[in-house]
Parts: sequence; structure tokens; C-alpha cells
Amino acid sequence: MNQILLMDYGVGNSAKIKQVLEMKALNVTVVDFKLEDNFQDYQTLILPGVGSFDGCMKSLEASGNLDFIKQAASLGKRVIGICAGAQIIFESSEEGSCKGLGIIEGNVIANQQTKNVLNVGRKIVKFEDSNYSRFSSDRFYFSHSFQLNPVDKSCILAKTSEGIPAFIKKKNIYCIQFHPEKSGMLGIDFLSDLVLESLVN
Amino acid sequence: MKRVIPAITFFNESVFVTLQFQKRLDGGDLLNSIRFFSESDADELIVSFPRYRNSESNSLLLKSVIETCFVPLNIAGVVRDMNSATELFGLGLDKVSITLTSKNINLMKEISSRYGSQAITAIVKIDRTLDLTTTLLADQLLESGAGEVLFIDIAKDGSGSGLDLPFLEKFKSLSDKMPVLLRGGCSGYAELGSVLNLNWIDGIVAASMFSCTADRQSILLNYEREMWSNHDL
Repeated sequence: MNQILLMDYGVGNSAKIKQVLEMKALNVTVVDFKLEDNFQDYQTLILPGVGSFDGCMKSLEASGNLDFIKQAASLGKRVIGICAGAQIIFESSEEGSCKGLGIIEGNVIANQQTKNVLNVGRKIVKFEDSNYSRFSSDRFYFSHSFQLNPVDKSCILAKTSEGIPAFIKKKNIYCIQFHPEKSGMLGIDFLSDLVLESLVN
Repeated sequence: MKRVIPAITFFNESVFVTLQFQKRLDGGDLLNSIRFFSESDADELIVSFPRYRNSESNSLLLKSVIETCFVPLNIAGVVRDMNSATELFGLGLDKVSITLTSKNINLMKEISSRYGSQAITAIVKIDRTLDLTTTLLADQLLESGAGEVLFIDIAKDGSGSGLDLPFLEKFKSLSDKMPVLLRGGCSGYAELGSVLNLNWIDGIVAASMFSCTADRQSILLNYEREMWSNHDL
């Protein structure tokens, strides 16, 4: 059975992501620590995130979902992290002191390329990978002060025009720095296509 | 890229285009206005609720507002404590605007600490009678944890007479600390294009310009991005 799981651990804007995916006729199950169901037969796990690295990690630990995410990654499920949810997939962040999930080798560092550390607004993103090049546009919405810094730079599939990593893929793990749910129809199409890929494959 | 942000003001039952933030033209249904700017793929959208009172019906209204908008959404006049902030961010709100005062600073710090500085827009209302130094303002802004500052020129609101740049330039140095947004009096697309070329301005917020005809006598929602996006930003 195709299933799309969306992690709700108290700091992500899971409601909005669920809404945009359901607009594209994708059924989403929101997963939180209150549920007793043992999810095994699913294809995709979406990890949203808003706010600080430490704030997200502490909420994730408190929710009891931390091991579930690591297990999803090791089982080869498609794990899609969005914004702060993408950052906690890494080992650590200059923003805080908590350890991240460590699913992708690397850390999260302060923005250097923008005039102020805060990178906010619609930005030009160029997708280098031919699978996603149709999405290259200037309409993706970013709102962050720290950026993804993988050890393996070849997994960076898209950057902003200032050189900030926008989209990373490492095997079955996908990290989106911008907010697809806030980037108009283009962003909604991008996220839903990414999810649909896992269902088709 | 610079940001061009339409602003909507909602007084209890209806959207109103204002003049110095007093009701002037009835702008109709709130969700229709939001839907228009969302479908126009506005860079961001600010919705202000000047007389907001907590109630079940207003909570439902805010939920509908957030659900209707698919561009970055900033809400002003609503969040007065962490509970309301938590509820709204959980529903998908991106930012809250809070007036920078000594009374609000602790709340702003708390929201910034939990949701990041990008979640807070500090509002500074222009008062030409006050001798507010930028040094003091910079200290307050940094203490608040806000990610950006929005200067609102109340005297110019709804006038369409042009931004008072000679006055606003006194706050120019703040752009070294954080993005600076301006609101109040933008006359139209031509002025928008020229103002956005100024290095220290990160964005313009405008209300009547995007809700009215050019003479500001009738309601006409508009957001023509091609009118300024061809400029070298």
C-alpha cells in the first residue's frame, strides 16, 4: 500500500504541507508519538521543520520519533527534509549545541553569501540535475540563517544564485532548504513530484 | 531579490483600504483578497488585524486565512503571547509582525528563540515628533531577536503621494544589521521600480497601491510583477 507519512513533532508546519499534498490528490498520514500503529509499509517520510536546530532536535527527541526517522533512512525509505527538517538530518549545526540525526555526513553552517546572515525571500534556484532542471526558477521561498554543508558536495543538486545549497540528494535522503509549500504552485509541484517519484518507483 | 509585499487590513467584518490607518474604502471579503494575492504569486503577504479580539470565530478565521494562502504569510495585530504564536505557526503561518516596544520585547525574544529570527518582523511606526536615534533603535532591534524591520509611515498611509525617502534615509544604517522594509505612501509601479534599486531597502510593503485603481477611488486588486521585475535587482 502506498503511504506518505508526515512527521508531526510539534515544531514543523505539517498542516500546510499536508494541505498542499492533498491538493495534488496525495493522501498523507500524519505521524506523531501518540499513534500506536506500527508503520512499515510506507514509501515516503516527510520531515518538516521550523525554527532553530536545537529547538527541532529537542522537540523530536521529546516526541519519541527520533529512532523512527533513523530507521526509515536505513530501510531505504524516501526521507524528505524541509528547511529546518532538512538541517537536522545532518550531524550538527553551528547554530546550536545539539547533535543532529547524522543521516548525512556534514554539518550546517552560517550563511556567508548573503548581505545579512538571514537569507529571506524569493530566490533564483538552478537545478543542475536533469531530473529536476524543469523547476529552475526565481520563485522559491527561503527563510533561514544557516545552510546545509554536506561533506560530499556532489550530492548538492541545486543552489541559489548566491551559491547557497537549495536541494540535496544522498541516496534515499532528500533535503530541501526552501519552503516548497510557500513557493506558489511551482513549489507545490516540486514537492508533489518528489513524493510521486517514490510511489511510482 | 527584493521583495514586494501587498498588505491587507481587516477590521472585524471586512477588508478596508485605509487612509492613515482609518477606514476609507470597503475592500470586501478577506479570503478573496488573500486568494488573489496568493494566485498572483505575491512575494509575501501581510494581513493586519487592528482590532483583533480572541474568540472562537476569529480563531477559525485565522485558520482559513492560513489555509487560503500559498505564499509566505505574515500576520500583524494578533499574536500577544506564546500560545497564540505556537498555534498559528503550527497551522502554517510564516511570520508575525509585532510592534517594537519595551512591553513586547520579551515576547519577541521568546518567539525568535523558538521559531528563529526569520519568524519575527519588528514594526516601527514612524513618529516625526520623536527623536529616535538609530543607535538606540538598532540596540532594541537586536535585543528583540527580530529578523527584519518594517518602518510604517502612518502619516503617508493610503496617500499614494510617494515614500518619504529623505526622512526614511535616517534609518539606512540599520540595513547593515537586518533587512529593512518600508511601508507608507508608495505611489505606484514606477516609484516601486526606482525605490527597489536602493541598496539599503530590502522590500516595499504597500496596501492601497495593490488594492485600488491608480486614483485610489475604487477597489481593484492588482499585483503586476512584470512591472518591476525587469529592473536590475
